[in-house]
Amino acid sequence: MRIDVNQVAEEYFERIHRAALVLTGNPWDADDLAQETFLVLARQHHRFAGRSQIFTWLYGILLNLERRERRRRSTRQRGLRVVSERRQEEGRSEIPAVCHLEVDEWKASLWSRVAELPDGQRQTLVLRFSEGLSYEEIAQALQCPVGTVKSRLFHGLANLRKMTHDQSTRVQWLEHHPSEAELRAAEN
Amino acid sequence: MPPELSEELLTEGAGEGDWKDALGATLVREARQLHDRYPAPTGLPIAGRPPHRAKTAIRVAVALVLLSLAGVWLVDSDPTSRSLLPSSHHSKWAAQQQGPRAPVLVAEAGQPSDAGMLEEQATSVPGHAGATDPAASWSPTPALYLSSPELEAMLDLVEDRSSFPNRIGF
Repeated sequence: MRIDVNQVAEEYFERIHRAALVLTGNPWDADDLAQETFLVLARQHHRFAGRSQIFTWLYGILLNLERRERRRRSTRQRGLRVVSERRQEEGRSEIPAVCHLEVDEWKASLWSRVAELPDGQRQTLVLRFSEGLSYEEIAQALQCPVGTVKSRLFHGLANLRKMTHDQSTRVQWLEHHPSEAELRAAEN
Repeated sequence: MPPELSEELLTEGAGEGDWKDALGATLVREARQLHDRYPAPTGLPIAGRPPHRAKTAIRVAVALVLLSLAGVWLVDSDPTSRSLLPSSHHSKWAAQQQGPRAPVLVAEAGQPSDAGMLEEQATSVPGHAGATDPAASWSPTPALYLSSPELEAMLDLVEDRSSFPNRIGF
């Protein structure tokens, strides 16, 4: 099936960039991820068989790229953590240069919690609540049954609720339990 | 995101108080805020950098064009002028591999010598009028350039020598 790559890029770049922004948490990585998605489209457009809609296929590419990048990043951060622990053992207490480039709006939003969910749940939530896809369209993009989509959506929201509940509980506990430094200050 | 869907999710979450709908509505609202705050860049999404395969294809194409140009030049060009040496070296038969001071035998193109094409080059005599310094034009690479009349004259000379009676029989 022949695809006009330029036309597809003009038509869907904004949507793909939007999903990439929610997934990565900053506009710079979102730009890179969206461009990478369309580079894959330009190189492999002949592999599109036409069994799904073009934008669900694009979402599939985007999510695969994002998952790969996330794994690469976590491997690098694991390496940095090892270096940091070794330095602490050696008596040096420098903080490793792990960059958190996410913008404040994203960090303050629920999407930063979504980023901590497992891949399937995270991707389903993005496609549903950021992109507004139907269950069938999400199933096409993720290449799984509709029942799986519904299940991931339910478990994703449940985990999100648990995380926010735990966080609010922790905040409340911290509010009612002063830190050791505050206790010492009060004693003095 | 289709506006009707987002509105539907927002109102669902606001109205019913179900935790799933509330979370969904919050996600929709916050995603919309993020999109408004950081819109997608305008212009062509893929600018400038071609993929690696395209670069390789360009290199191969350039190499093929250069090879074909070289082939055409080799076929069409005059063999006597096909040299990287200066033009003053053309159409000379120079035994230059023997060194700069060796006598150089020349046969000018189109002027075959009566004495079997071979004559000692006057330029090897220092102080001769029009003489050039052989050391300046010496090259370690031997060069042999012969035009057709020169070749015919040489073949005639060989025939004459072979047909000359070298034994007298009684």
